[in-house]
This record gives sequence, C-alpha cells and structure tokens, in this order.
Amino acid sequence: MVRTFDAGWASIASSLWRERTLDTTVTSLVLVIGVVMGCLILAVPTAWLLARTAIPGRPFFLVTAALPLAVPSYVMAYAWIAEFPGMSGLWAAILVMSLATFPYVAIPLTAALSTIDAGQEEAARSLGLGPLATARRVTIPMAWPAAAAGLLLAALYTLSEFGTVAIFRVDAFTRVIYTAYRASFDRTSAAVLSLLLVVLALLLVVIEARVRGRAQRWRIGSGVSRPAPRQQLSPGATAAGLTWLIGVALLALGVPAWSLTRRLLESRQTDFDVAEMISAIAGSISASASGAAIALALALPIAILAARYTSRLVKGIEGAAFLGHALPGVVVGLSLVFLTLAVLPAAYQTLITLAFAYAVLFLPKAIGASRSSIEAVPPALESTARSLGRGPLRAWFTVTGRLAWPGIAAGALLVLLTAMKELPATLMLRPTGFDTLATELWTRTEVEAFGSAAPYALAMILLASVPAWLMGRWLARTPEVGTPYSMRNPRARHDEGVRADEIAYVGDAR
Amino acid sequence: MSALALDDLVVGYGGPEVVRGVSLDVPDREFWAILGASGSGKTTLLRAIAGYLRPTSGSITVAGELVAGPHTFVPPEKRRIGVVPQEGALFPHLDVAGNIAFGLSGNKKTARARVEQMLEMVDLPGLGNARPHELSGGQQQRVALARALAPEPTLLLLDEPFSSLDAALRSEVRTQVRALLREVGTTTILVTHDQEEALSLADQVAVMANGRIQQVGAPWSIYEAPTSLGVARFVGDLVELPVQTIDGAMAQTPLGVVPVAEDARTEAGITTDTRLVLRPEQLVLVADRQVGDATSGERGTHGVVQSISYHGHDSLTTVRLDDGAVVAVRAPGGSGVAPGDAVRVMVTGSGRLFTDPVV
Repeated sequence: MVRTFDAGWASIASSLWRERTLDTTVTSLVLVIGVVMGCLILAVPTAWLLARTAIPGRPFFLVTAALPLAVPSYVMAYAWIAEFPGMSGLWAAILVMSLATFPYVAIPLTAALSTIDAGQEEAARSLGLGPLATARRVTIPMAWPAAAAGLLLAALYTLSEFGTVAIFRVDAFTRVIYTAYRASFDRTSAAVLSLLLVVLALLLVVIEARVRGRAQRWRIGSGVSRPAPRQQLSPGATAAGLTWLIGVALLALGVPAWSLTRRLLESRQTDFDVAEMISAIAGSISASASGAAIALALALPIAILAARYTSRLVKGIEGAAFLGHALPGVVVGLSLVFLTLAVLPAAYQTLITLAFAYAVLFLPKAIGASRSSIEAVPPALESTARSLGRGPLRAWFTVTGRLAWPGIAAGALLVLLTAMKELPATLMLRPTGFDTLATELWTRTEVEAFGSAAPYALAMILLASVPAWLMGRWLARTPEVGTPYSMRNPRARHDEGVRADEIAYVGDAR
Repeated sequence: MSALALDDLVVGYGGPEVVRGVSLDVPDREFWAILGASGSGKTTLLRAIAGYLRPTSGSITVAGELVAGPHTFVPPEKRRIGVVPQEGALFPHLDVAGNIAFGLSGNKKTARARVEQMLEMVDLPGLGNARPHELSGGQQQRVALARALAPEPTLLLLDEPFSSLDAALRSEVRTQVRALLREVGTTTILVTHDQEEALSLADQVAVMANGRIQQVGAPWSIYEAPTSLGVARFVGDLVELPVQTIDGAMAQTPLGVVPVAEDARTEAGITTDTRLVLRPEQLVLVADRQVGDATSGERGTHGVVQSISYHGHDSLTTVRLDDGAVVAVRAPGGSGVAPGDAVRVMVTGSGRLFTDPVV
C-alpha cells in the first residue's frame, strides 16, 4: 500500500475520482448485491425443503446442495461459457457466482433450521401465534444469524473473485486492477483501486464478525433440544419441491458436468500434452506445498497462543492474521509485486514469493484448524508432562503437539489444496515459464481453447473435492469414540451445528 | 528436615492475590490434606508448589532445596514433584505402560521393570497394554498415581483426585490409595473440598479459606476443637446457641447449662454475638412420654420435632425448642420419633465459645 502514497496525493485524488473508479465501484457493488440476492433465492427454499419437509431423496439433495463448493467458481464459469459462448457481462457473472456460492448460505441455514428446538416453536404456537407469525417472530430471528454470516462470506468471496469476472469480462475491481497492472503497468491506479477494494472487503469482514459474534448468543439452556418434525408435503407440493431441488442441482452441477464431459471427449481428439499436464501438476504442488509450509510455520505460534491465552495482545495478533480473509488474491499479488521490486528485486517472480503470497492469503485457515485442535487438548496433560520431568518444548511436542497433529495437518492440507486453486496472485507472481493447473486453465480459457482446457478443469475439480470430502466427514463426525469423558474439552463445541465460517475453510477458491 | 516448607507464600494471576501469605511445614513421610471450599485458593497453592505458577512473593522449599524464592524459580520438570491431576489426565495417545513410563529416563529394560513393579503396586498387573479409555474411572486414577510415583518423586500432590468418581467407588479407591501411600511412604499433599475425605485420610489437615491457612491440626482437633467459627462450620454440622450468661466454666443457653471446654473459655466475657457451639451428635433425644421415667427425671429441654432426615446409619432430627431456638440432633440409626412429637433434648460433653466474626 506504500505504493499508493508514493504517487502523491494529487495523483491519488485524481485516480480516485476518475469516472472509471466510480464505474468499477458501482459494478462491483451491483455484482455483490446481485450474488447476495441470488444466494438467498437459491438457498432459502432449498434449506427449508431439506430441513423441514419429508421430501424424498433428502440425503441425495443434501449432497448436491453442498457439492458446488467443490467446483472452483472460475471452473464453473469456464464450463458455462464453453457451453454457451455468448455469455458475458454482469448477469452471467451474477448467475454463476450465485450458483457457486449459495452453499455458503444453504448449509448453515439447513443446519440452523433443523437444530432449532421444536419446543420453542411450539411454545410460540401455544402463546397464540399462527404459523406465519411464528416463522416471523421465532424461526427467522433464530436462523437469521447463520444465514447472514453465510451471505457475508458469499459477498466477500464475490468481491475478491477474479477468474469468473474476468471470464465474463465484467469490469469489477479485481479485473480492472489486474488489467491495469498487466496492460499498462499503471501502478498508481492499480494501487488506489486495490486500496479501495481492501476497504470494502474489510468492511464486510467487520460486519461478518459482528453478525457471527451475535449469532453465538442464540443458544440458551443445556437441555437436549428436540428438532422440529419434518412436514409431510402434499403430492403437488412434493412435485414442486422436487422440481426446485433438481433444477438447482442441474444448474449448479449438471451444466458444468455436461459441458466438461463434452469438452473432455473433444479434447481427446485435439491436442492434449501429457508432459505439460504433469509439469502443471508439479508446479501446483511445489508452489502450494511451500505455501502450506510457510503458513504452518506462521500459524502454529499464533494458534498456540490463541488457544491457551486470551490476552489482548494475542487477540490482536490473531485478528491481524485473520485480515487475510479480507485480502483478495489480486491485492496480495499486486502488493508483493511492488514490494519485491522495491525492496528485493531478486525475489521478484520467484517461487518463494509466490509461496509467501499463499501463506498470507490462507493463514486464517491454518490458524483456525490448528487452534481448535490445540484447544481440544486439556492443559492438564501438558502440565502433568512437565511435572514428570519434561521441559516445556518436549512436553508440548510429546503431548499437545502429538494429540493435536491431525488438526494441524488438516489445516496445512487445506492451505495446500486451496492454494492450488488460487489464480490472480499466481498469475502475477509466478516465475516466467512456471505453470500450475490454475494458470494453464486460465490461459486456455482466455484464448477460448475450451477443449484443451477441459482436462485442467477436471483436475481442478478433483483437487477441490478433497477438502469438500473432508468437510463431509467432518460434518458427520461424532465425538471421538472411546475418548473418556474426562479427556474432552468442555470448550469444544460439539453441538453448535455448522457455522458459515467453518465452511469457508473449505470452499474458498480465491 | 521437612519435605515441604512454605514461607509467607503469596500467589496470584495478576489481579488480586489468590494465596495470601501461607506458611506451612510438612514433615517427611506424612500425608497432609489442604481442605478448602472452591475459591479458597487451595488449587492455586498446589499449582504454585508444582511449579505451574510463579509465586508473587515468599518461598517454597522442597526437601531442603529452595525451588521458588525472590531470585529462584525451578521449573516443574526439575522439581521432582509428582502430581495426580483431577480426573487423572492420562495421556490418551499412550497405553497404560506408556503413561507410567512417561516420566522415566534411562534404559528401556529398567523402565519396563519399573512399569511392571508400579502396575503390581497399584494392583493392575497385566494391564500395561490397555488404553486409558478402556479403564474404569477408578483404574484410571490408579494409573495416574502409578505414573506420578514411578520416577520416585520427593513429594506427591493429589488435586481432588477422587471427585470425579461416583460415591461407591470413591471410598474404595480412597482406601486403596491411602494404604498404598502409607506403604511407599512418599510425602503427600491432598487438596480437597471434601471434609470427610480430608478428615479420614490425612495425618494433618490444613483448613484454607480466603487464601489463608485458618487452622492446622490432626483431623480430630479440626473437628472437635476448631479455633474459629468459620472452621467449625466448614468441617461439619453445627449446633449454634446464643449464650445468655456465663459463670466460669458453665454457660447458660437455651439447652440449659452447658460446660465449656477447658481450652475454649473466654476471659473477655460475653456479647450478643457470643455463640456456644456443639456437634449434633453431642445432643441426645428423649421422647416426652418417658417423662415420668425415674432415670431421666426432669433433665433436658422441651421441644417439638420439626423434621427428620434419615441416612440409614444415622439420622438428623431438627427440634424447635420451647423458646424458639432450633437445634439439630444426630442419633445412630433412626431416632424413633416423628415430626410433631414432643421431645426433650439433653447435652453430653462440653461446648466451645466463639465471639469472633466469621471468616
């Protein structure tokens, strides 16, 4: 951001007030608002059908409602444009981004609707409220925080998404910044726009944190809550519900699957270079693995402090790390370009800079996963190890670290897989001639070589489904079987349902 | 040489001090209990002794070696103090043998022999390969004890080790642990809020409240000769009576004239706050239909039974005396009366006088 101020205030002011800046802001806001509306329209009926009705095929539709998270949004955009080459502009972007992000809302909302205690709704009815009034005064207020947190995540995701808006040629912040940087090396304008984008994103993060903070207060009482019974629908309503669920699944999954399969079959006849594919996979893995390693090294000390101490300083450090949530890849890419050129030209466009960008972007994921698994280890175990003659470091590694490592490793794996999907920062920071799956897909889509892009798109989906699969297992988890009750941390929350920010660990493909 | 010496120890977490000047001298091979309600500072004191917390001031000396003082702080791993935490806190990723061997250094063969010996000692032979979650609560506690004792600590700290066990198991495990520790002879400090546990297990009991030690003594003296009304109330049920007049060794109370214990008389005279206290088992209940009985004569104070709580081995009966005072009477087995019955209450032994404000 120093770059911004180097240019002098006059120049900043002039680029800030240029008509194009205003246009970009309006375009981005319309895009975000459109996606938020789209998410609501897609998620609310879906969540209600899945949580409150005895719709046939419920387990299947639960999966299809979560599965779009496994398709990186620009892969989805590629699939749509490959099938309908005429698609472009704001509406196309809103449609695809809504389809890609609505699980952020649908999953927590389904969880919230199915865990709301039936007793509370029954109490409202017995106090003289009709079904609609009950929904308005009881159900919606209780489910709203879950949905709101998910909506804000979808908004944040949309604001920082690069691939989709670029594919549909929408002049939102990320694309304008990237074009300004690429085409004219118009640094000041790119920097000013980045700053504006970060401010908007930060605003969303702050709102999200507030909504989430309030959401946690909704659980009162320790009694076992009894979920609401699922309503039996009339045949007509069942048909309508099924049509809806199938329709959403077709749009979000069917179209990409169909388009991809078709292109894949085509690509077998055209040029498919195995060597190129292998080098792209190797590039993806080497860059992301280095990024994951750096992220882990940065995350562990923060996670340990955050799990065991709650001082203001620790909260500050953790909060600063979470700002990574608000930093779009394009901004991190741009600032590292400036930084390396200004401070350490030797590091410009090297693997290490790229890995560092991944670490900055995905640090929150690594911290989140490590922190919760460290928190789950009772501190008494570590102090007992000390009393048995182990020094502080050995005690940590033989007890806490040993017990928490599955969570810590999962966090690192999550960073690795997410980094593989990252596009804009990779484009800006990669060494010349260095290719990853994401950049290969990107270059081919840009020249509309849809057929030869298909194998890369498929590889991306396969990669992306690993965290989605992990999350599926995590959603199905029960308290670890065989753990004596005393080993469980009272702070571990087994019963809070699914929170949108936890899903964000998985679906993020910026 | 004492196994543990605390000198004016002050411990806190940055806010108000939690342990506020504790001095104790625990002789070698003794079993002590620190008894206090929750919030009394007893667990903080234990954490400071173990080395988990750095004291604000004062000193801790273990077996003649200063481990915490103005310029000294020995970390927990160098103190040779064994700790049995609440609920055992066994390492879930290690089997029983791995847990017991955790604090052992040196070659594998001696370690394995030591583990076998410890398993034998806590009466769990052959369970070395079991996982902690396969054990019952009582077995987990015994493994935790074996783990703490395996490196032969100079001092053993027990942090409410029995509180997570259910009642039936608790007394069984307690007895086993006590017998075992008597055999091993390791100096032990038990921290507990359970007065029955402290009184029945310890050689010496230190009662703690508000971060200070209120009284140190043998269990019987804590119960029968408490030095303050606070301690008296904390360690058991109490009959508290106002004192109307006092004449040397005899106090006039609603239960008639009661002798005052020799070491608890007051020179200062009495005030309206002065209380004579007795334990409920010092009172005897006689049904009023035996009034004409020559042996009981006219002795005792008249009252009416209010309620009875029956415990099997004894029962506690509340009686409202004719002047309005309410007293509790403990009798072995049932008392043979029913609520509403007219009774007489008689006193055996002597009471103790307190004028001090309750701490």
